[in-house]
Amino acid sequence: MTVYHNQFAQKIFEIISPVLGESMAKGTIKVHCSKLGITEESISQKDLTLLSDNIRKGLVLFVGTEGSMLIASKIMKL
Amino acid sequence: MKKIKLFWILSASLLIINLIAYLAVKGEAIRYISDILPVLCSFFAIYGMLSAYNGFKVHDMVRTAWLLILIGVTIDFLAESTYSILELGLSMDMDEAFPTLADILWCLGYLPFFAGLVILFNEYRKSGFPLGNIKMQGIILSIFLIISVTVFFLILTPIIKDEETTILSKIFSLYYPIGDILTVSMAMILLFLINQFGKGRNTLPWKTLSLGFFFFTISDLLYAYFDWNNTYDSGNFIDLGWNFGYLLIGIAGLYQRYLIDLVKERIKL
Repeated sequence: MTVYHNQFAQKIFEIISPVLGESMAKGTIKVHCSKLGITEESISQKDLTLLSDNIRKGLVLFVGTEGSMLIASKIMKL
Repeated sequence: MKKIKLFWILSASLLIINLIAYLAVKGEAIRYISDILPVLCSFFAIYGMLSAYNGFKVHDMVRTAWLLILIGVTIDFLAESTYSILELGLSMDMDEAFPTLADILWCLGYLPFFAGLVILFNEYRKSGFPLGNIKMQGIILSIFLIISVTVFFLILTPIIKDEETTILSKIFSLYYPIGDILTVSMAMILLFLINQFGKGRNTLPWKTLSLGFFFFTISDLLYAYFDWNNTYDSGNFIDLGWNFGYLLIGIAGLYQRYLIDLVKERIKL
């Protein structure tokens, strides 16, 4: 089980890992953080809007627009 | 999940019945089993795909992809039904009558299948998820080339060279293996991509869908080879691949629906 010190990273991981699986959830968080020029351990409240939107775009593939928007809104509300 | 387990049990039962029937039943009855089981299995595929399609509430490219695969299995169901009616109802000699309306429908079915798989691949490409390492891509390309060359020499070349076959029959005989190779290539690419996600729930729809097309193609190519060499007859074990293929495609649809519903339930909690 992956554990982050950053509370946002940990909560995002807990939200998306049931859909993507643990390793891909970890990879997804890492890639999208890197695109924003941050690390998983430095995610802050202001990053959540962009981060959730980027994650949503990938999740559409597996759970459709509605499901991915539900996940994105849960991340935004963190 | 209960529904999926039931579907797996039903699929296993149908395949066991199929196998026992082919081993034990002889004579004209085998023709009925050989013709009716694919109708039943393709119907289950429609049910599963319809379930997945209805799960996507917002119309987007992913929903379109599943819709196209649903259209493909519906066309195949019509083709299987037409074949049964022509052979069992109208006592038509299907080898003599080739190509029939059933063949036109089967050939038509490849188009939505292929388009649906291409859309899924394209959406994956746009998603930002990894496309895999170059070494694995090279291995996949090599396997594809080996299969294509084998099919070309064992199936396509004898058909092209045959002088007794009409142009129309040749077109249909060539269309099947080419359509199979193209469809299964896309399915195998999707299987390779989804394997990167490990054993997660999100992998099951694509895995079962790709394997469904894989079994379908294996049976199609073996059929093309044996039929051209006049060694195929009703009740051949090749049929099991088609039936299992249909059932796996149906199960893929149910897994997709389960995944969509699971996300909605968990997020709303």
